[in-house]
Amino acid sequence: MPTGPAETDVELVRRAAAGDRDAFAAIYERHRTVVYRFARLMSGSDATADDVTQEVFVTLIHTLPSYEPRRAGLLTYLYGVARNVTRNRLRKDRRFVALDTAASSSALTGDPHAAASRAQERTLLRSAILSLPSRYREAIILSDVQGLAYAETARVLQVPVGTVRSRLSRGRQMIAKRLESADSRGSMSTVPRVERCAV
Amino acid sequence: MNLQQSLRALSKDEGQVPAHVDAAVMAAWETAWDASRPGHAPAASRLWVPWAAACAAIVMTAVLLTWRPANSGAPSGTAGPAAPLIQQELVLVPEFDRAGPLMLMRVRMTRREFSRLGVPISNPDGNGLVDVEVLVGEDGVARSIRRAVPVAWSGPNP
Repeated sequence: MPTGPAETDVELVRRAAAGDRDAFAAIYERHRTVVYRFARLMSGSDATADDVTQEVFVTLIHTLPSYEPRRAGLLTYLYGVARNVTRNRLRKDRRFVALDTAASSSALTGDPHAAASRAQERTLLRSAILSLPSRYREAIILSDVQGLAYAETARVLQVPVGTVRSRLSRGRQMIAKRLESADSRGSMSTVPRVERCAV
Repeated sequence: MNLQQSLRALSKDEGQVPAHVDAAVMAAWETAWDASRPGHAPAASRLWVPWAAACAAIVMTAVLLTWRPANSGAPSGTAGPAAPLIQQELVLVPEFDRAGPLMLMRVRMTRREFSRLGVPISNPDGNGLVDVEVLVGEDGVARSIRRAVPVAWSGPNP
């Protein structure tokens, strides 16, 4: 059965749980990008983001019959699974990795100097996020990057809203400090040394 | 642009899900659902199938082991040709899992240890040894018993 653009997650989940492939495809289409971007920012690795995205939706396939929309919205649920899968993956894979440095195609359009500058800024920003301890990193990614409300972020992280606020505040301070430090070093290196905080 | 605006802008710059991930997820859906029979529960909720098979195998084994013809009154542990303790070619142990490669291990154990594998045998607390061929998964957990033969008694037990 085809899916309409206004169909709610709850309706799609209900149909997917009954075996409707189109409904599951619509859920995947709707939410895959945010899951992928969350995992990529958390890990700094395309390969990890690929694996996490796959695992999150395979988990969804197997938990659809038991998923209860009243307990959590689908996106919150998917973020929760993505968070657990990513943390497990990073815990297993405790090592420092270089952030993928490929600039996005959108950053390289228009004025090449401005585009290069933007690309470098974003690379620095990603590396600053990646250097945060995970509790600050996930709050920053969910709330500041992905745009979730504080209450929604709190549900995903299973902490009070006040804790989200304090983690965001502390995380932003740490990022700002990192960026200042990078500025003070100037343009000695176009590719910054990137370290990932081990969980 | 302040920090929060820069962070928000970063969201759109984090790439797209590669096509191979899309394909893998949809393949997982196809695998989990029996495409030829729409409406059936996914594989996760069909776990009763291997459990039922395992239980049926165990029940059949128990019946075979406890049933004795009227003229087969030889006490266990006596000398003589060793009859197979398990009449079936393959006996599943509980929590049998078909996933992954299996290795064949030949082990000799007491009846008591053998019964602890979950296979019902006659006289599980009896003396005597059993030669067992066990199919073991890569994790070292026994998946099934292929063959079990009592070791012929040739003297006093140690």
